Amino acid sequence: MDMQQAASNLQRGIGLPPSVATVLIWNSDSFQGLKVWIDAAYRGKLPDIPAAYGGYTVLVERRPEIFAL
Amino acid sequence: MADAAGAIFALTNNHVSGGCSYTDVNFPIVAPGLLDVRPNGHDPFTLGHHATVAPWTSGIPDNVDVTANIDAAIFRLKDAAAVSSMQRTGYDTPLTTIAPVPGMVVRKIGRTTGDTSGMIVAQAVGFVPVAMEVSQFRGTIYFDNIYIIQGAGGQPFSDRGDSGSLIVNTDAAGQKHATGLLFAGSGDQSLTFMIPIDKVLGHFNVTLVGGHNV
Repeated sequence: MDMQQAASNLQRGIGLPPSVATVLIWNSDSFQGLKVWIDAAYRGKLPDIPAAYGGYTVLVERRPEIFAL
Repeated sequence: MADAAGAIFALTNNHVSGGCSYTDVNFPIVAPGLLDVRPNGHDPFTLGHHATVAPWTSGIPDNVDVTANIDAAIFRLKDAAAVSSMQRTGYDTPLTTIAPVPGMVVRKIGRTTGDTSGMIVAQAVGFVPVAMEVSQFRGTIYFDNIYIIQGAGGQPFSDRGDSGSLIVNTDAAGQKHATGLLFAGSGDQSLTFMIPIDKVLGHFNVTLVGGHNV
């Protein structure tokens, strides 16, 4: 499974509304894999998100606040 | 940028010149922007007149289709002979585009942070919420197909006022290609968000203009 497909599958299968969870394909010096950003204001129960998916490491983080510049 | 008839437009974000879709058509777009006008500074002059915005839909993706959302606007230049396609004194606007990919090294010249370099570190597969606040509108708009940049050397790639910057990549042969339109950033300035430029140009059915009064 390529990374794009893995990310799309994870986004669909994560069990959270699309407004709450954002899956990202990440490739930086500090991390390579899939990140799952969870809305910082979300107060519901989080599903079990696997530490690896499709052969890629998965990291769950709070989604940063994003502002128009 | 130019349309099929050769008319030249300037490109920026909807939240910059489009008033988050509330700017009247033909409204004057001035430079310096009104936020930059100050005593003993440059007097503003009319750069052009608002033409149109790319559409966006408010609301969360659970309820409404936000997949067409683009933060972009164009305005008709008042006097195309009075402006240049140069990105300040750094480089000319490239005529070609390249699809962004995580790992790509990029550069931009912007109003606030000037000439900065960085790397595309991520592609959002899901939706990204962006807080918009202008005089006519305040709310959160969701976008998909967004790419994320980190500045080189741990420095911010952008800051408030840099929206609308054209983000470019230089290939192995030294040729520059446009890859994105800067529009948002994280609160801690560590991340910059861009829209793929092909999505923007495709929506307006325009092409980039280079070599203009260079």
